[in-house]
Amino acid sequence: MRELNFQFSCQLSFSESVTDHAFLLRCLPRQAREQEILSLNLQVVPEGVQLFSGRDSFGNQTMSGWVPEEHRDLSYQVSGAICRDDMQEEAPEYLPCFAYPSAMTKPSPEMSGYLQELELTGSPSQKAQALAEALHERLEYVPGSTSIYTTAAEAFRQGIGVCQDFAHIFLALARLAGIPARYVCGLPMGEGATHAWAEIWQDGHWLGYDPTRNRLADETYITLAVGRDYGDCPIERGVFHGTALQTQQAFMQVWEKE
Amino acid sequence: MDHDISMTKINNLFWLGRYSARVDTTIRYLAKWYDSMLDGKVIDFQHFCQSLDIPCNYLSAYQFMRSYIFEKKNPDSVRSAAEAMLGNGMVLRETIGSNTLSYLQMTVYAMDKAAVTTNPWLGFQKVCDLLMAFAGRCDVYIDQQCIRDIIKCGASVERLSLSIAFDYPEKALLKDLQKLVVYTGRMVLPLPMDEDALALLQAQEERLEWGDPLSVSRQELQKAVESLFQL
Amino acid sequence: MQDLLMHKDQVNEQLARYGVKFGIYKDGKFNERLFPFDPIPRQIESRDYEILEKGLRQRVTALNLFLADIYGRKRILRDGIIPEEFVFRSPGYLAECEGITPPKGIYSHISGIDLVLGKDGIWYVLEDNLRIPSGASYPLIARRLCRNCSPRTFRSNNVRDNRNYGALLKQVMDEVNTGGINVIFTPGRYNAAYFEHSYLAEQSGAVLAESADLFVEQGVLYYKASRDPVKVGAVYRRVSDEYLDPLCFEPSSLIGVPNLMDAYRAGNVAVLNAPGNGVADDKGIYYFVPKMIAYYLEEEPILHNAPTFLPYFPEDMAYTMEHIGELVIKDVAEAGGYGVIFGENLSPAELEKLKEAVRREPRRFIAQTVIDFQDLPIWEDGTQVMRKADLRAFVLTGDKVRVWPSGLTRFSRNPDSFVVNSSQGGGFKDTWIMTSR
Repeated sequence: MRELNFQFSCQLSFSESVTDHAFLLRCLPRQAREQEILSLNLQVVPEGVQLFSGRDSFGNQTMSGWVPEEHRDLSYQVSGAICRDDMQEEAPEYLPCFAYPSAMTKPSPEMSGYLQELELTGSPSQKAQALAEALHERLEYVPGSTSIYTTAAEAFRQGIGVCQDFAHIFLALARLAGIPARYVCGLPMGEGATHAWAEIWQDGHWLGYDPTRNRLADETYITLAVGRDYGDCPIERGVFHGTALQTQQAFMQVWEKE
Repeated sequence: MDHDISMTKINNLFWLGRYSARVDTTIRYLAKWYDSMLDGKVIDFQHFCQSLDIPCNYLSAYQFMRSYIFEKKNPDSVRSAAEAMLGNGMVLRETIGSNTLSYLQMTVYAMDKAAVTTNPWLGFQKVCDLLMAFAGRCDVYIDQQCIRDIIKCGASVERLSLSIAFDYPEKALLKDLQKLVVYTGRMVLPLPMDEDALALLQAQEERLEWGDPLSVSRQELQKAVESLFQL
Repeated sequence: MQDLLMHKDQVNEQLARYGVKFGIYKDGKFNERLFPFDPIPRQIESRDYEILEKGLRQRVTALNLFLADIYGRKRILRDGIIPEEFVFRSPGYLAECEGITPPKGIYSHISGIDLVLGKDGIWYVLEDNLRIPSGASYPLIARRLCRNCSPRTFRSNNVRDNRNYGALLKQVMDEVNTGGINVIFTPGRYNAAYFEHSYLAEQSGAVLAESADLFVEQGVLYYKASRDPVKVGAVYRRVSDEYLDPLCFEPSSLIGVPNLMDAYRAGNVAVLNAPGNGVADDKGIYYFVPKMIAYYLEEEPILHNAPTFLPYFPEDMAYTMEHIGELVIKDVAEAGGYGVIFGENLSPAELEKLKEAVRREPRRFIAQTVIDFQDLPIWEDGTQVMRKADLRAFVLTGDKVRVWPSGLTRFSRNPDSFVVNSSQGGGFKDTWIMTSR
């Protein structure tokens, strides 16, 4: 069991005014037995934006908003404290679709070949462990080498990517190996950018693997949202009227409670 | 249906009015020219284009009459205006009704029919008859006054704009100025309007009504007419 | 009837007058065409219709239960009636709809069931259309115009009135409405079925709206009226699932309403038809519909499927390989008459290629026996000729399941073609349901 403090802020800036801006946030920690929220604070600018809270089909907490007036910034900041305890996991949510390829995780023939070469054996968790290790060896982490739209097959072909791509390739291959798996985005211990990893389904439990860092996604990881792939659970998605260019600055920090 | 309508529909209603008046007014104007050409009279189509501020790439009076009236590919043509009229009508089916809309469709068919006959004058008459019937249907069968009024605002703006361009005498402008003053005065929907333009038109309407000449140039009047509605 | 034939030109003139058109994209250009109308109606006798009506209600009831089950408890998969990969690999299955219960639990409000009448006198269902089936507006307006052009025909025939479609549609919208106005949401004027969208709006008293006229705030869908926003309680959307909400589905969609799914999920608006229905009208799932009827309703299916083989199952694969030259092979991912291949039209080399494709991706294809269906008479150049035709029946589900006593009969104008889709140049007929007298 660990108690974690966290803070996450994101600022979207537009090169010129935009209107009719609709957005959907998944920036709050996911509510689950193994991740108890002790305190939580969310602030959004422009102030006075009414947020509507909901829950999507993957059980993620969503916050939607609508800013019809002209504006050039949208920012949100969330902070609080979490109690992470994987022993507490109970009746976790599962969907059969996690066993099948999703839009961004369709395996290419090249990937099928690679999986065969790996000759994974043992339990799902043993296979996942070996897979995470192999991918960590095979792929190179290069910031900016891919975009949020890059598929697992594309990233695998070029052999480089960021955490999203590592997670996508892991998911594609795990599912191909018959292991149901899901994408997770969230906040790992430390500071910097948000992170993505994967979880596999074994014996009625979710087990987290971080192929980017070649380690287990343990109780130092805070989950924001899960889905079949990135497309199901981006932290922020928005559309607006206007021809402005959007830039984004995000920062997160997670530290252990004293 | 007495609930409020969207800005998109207001826009379509206004332009429906403008385009239908454009087809009607220009056809009537050109029908007279068409008749005078029979006597070998020269028509000044260059001046016509200049007045409307449209490009004049026509080689002859005959070619002008064909292309400017009937040609679908000519964006300035009356036929194109008729298409735009129908396009605005089509997206208003449930607002104006299928029966009223059918007159717009028939107008377009009538234009295409007139284009391939040897006596287009009869075709012009048919087009104008159908547009009259359309206007009549709007009056009788569209229940909400504000919806009728938006179409009429568009029609009056277009007629005024053309009358000024064609250099019609001042007293010919009065009727449509009066109408605009009435429609804008009783409008319950938030049509985006230019207050200065409205004030100018109201003042000029009053002058003409009292028999005084316009106190602004025709260009200024034209500008006010065109900028009255920000649609 | 002869009287109606004599007035064919007037009817067509009337259809033109009312702009009864559909749009078609060819070489990247949008064109509108009049939908060719044939005046000889398809007639269905009242006792045949009774069976058809019962069968359609049964089928649509089962399909609605299936959808509720798939996006809910998934009993039919757990019980092994349908292999789960047919569901989760279907492009029509939308995980984004998991756990959503639509108002009154109805998923397919407007269902278009495509049938053909075999030479054996049996109706066969060819396809279920549970997403946004189109076509009801054409026989609807054609009936009105035929009555005007040839009143004698209708005085001497006992034809059930079909002009209530707008009222039926309104009733369904009202029954699922969560409070607010009814809206028909169209992708816009350049959609193939724009005439239908606008005509149904007029007939049902709904407001026709495009993306720019709608927005979601605080989980509520609003119509952007010029003064104050008006709450929408039911939206009959003619925008397909993937473009419906750029914040949930295809992010680049410009014709959707952002956060519409959020409002729908919160139960604040009814969406007709429900997103995700594609999983039930998938060509691969079609095979299982009779099993669904048995499973959910514990009834014998009243309507027949066309004899279908799933190469997914080894014995069906063997049959398909052996008889491929007599079968029609359908790609489950394609719609609108595309991806339909008749084995008899292929050369031996092409057949081998097709077999190879089926073997490589068995789940992607279904194989069907070519049904010898009854041709219908068409009036062409003053004589009757026989052509292939199908029937799209419309079933409306609100508090009750109601079959519209009419339907869209489409025919192929090409004597050698089985494909009747309007996008492939077919025409249409009115469908008369006869009263018993």
